Amino acid sequence: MTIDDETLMALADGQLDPDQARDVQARLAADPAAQARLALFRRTRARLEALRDDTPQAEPGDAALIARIRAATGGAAPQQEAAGPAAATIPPSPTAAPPQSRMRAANANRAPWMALAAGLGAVAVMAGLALTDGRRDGSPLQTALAQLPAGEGTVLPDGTDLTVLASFRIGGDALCREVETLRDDSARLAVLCRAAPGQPFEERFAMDLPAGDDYRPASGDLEALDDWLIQVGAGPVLSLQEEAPLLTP
Amino acid sequence: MDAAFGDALIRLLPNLRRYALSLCRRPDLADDLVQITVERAITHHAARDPAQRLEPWLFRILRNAFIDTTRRQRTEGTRVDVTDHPEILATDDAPLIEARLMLAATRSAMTRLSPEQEEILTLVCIEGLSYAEAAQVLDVPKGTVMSRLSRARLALAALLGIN
Repeated sequence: MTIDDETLMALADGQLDPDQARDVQARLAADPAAQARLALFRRTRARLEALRDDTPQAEPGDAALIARIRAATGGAAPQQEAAGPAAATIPPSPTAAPPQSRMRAANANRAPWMALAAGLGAVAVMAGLALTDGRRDGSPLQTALAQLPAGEGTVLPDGTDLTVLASFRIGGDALCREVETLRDDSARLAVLCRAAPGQPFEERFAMDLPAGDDYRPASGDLEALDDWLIQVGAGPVLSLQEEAPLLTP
Repeated sequence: MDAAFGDALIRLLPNLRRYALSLCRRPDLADDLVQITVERAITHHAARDPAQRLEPWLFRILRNAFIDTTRRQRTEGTRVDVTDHPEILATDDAPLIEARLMLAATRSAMTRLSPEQEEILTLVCIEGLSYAEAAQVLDVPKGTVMSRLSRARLALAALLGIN
């Protein structure tokens, strides 16, 4: 039986409960048509999420509102969100994008899958999910890492569902891709990096995803990742515009 | 009232404006709606269930304000495309141009959907609400959210040439 659109959409949006998600996942591997439909729902979501990241963070007219809110809520902070007049309705140019914290951008892409991870139970230890097996150039994993923009995902031949959350640089030119994988009962977060274009991505960091009944992404839940990012001196999350030239078309 | 609530409210001002624009498509009206929402949020802060996320609560206030306003005005006014940004071509960097064009195409496609479809896409895919939260904002069953959202996604995909 084929998988209906609403179910595929709910999977793409991370809105299925873990049992349903596993069930759909299992049926997907043998159903290329459903995989294509799933990709459609993912891609529409990714296109819309790009709009979210492109919205100006504050507008000149906000100063009065912010002052009003501060006065009513007892906050003492002075105007900190004032924007130049040019920011009115024009999205910032890619190079002048408002600073966004790494975790904010990464979590925006993570949200759907974290909801799926909820309730899977704390997976204390688990094997490498075949990510490290895919090191050779040209493997489906390597192809996905080199091609997929942040926010998009694919189902690898071994049934692993992979979503790229974010891209960033470390140590100059090395490109890193933060991904989330889901296979069977296990959700996992990993960072794979390549030293230069054409070289294979190698896994540099991995953690099992935390679980909870009502998981909400928050930087505090990913302390191990945060620590690692600080330790290696990771750069800020690349915007889709910054990322595009680094990917294989 | 606590400063954390104020901080959260300030942080969400761009989200509120974006949702307001998706409802009325007029920057001046959107500003009014955001202002009304802020005032009502401050007034009714104590009535909010702290276990609930702030976003759906604020979106619902804004949506009700929009319904109030249009009821009073009995007219929608002129719809303008606030997403017309010719400056996207003001760079000679090809990948950047392509990324800007993709954003512009997505914005343009959104305005060609029905207001109902644009709204559900904004709430779930841009603002990141769960289906249950969107159902609460729109005051419809979750099943309605899913069927509406799925139709909207297919319509958007068709407009964007995604298949």
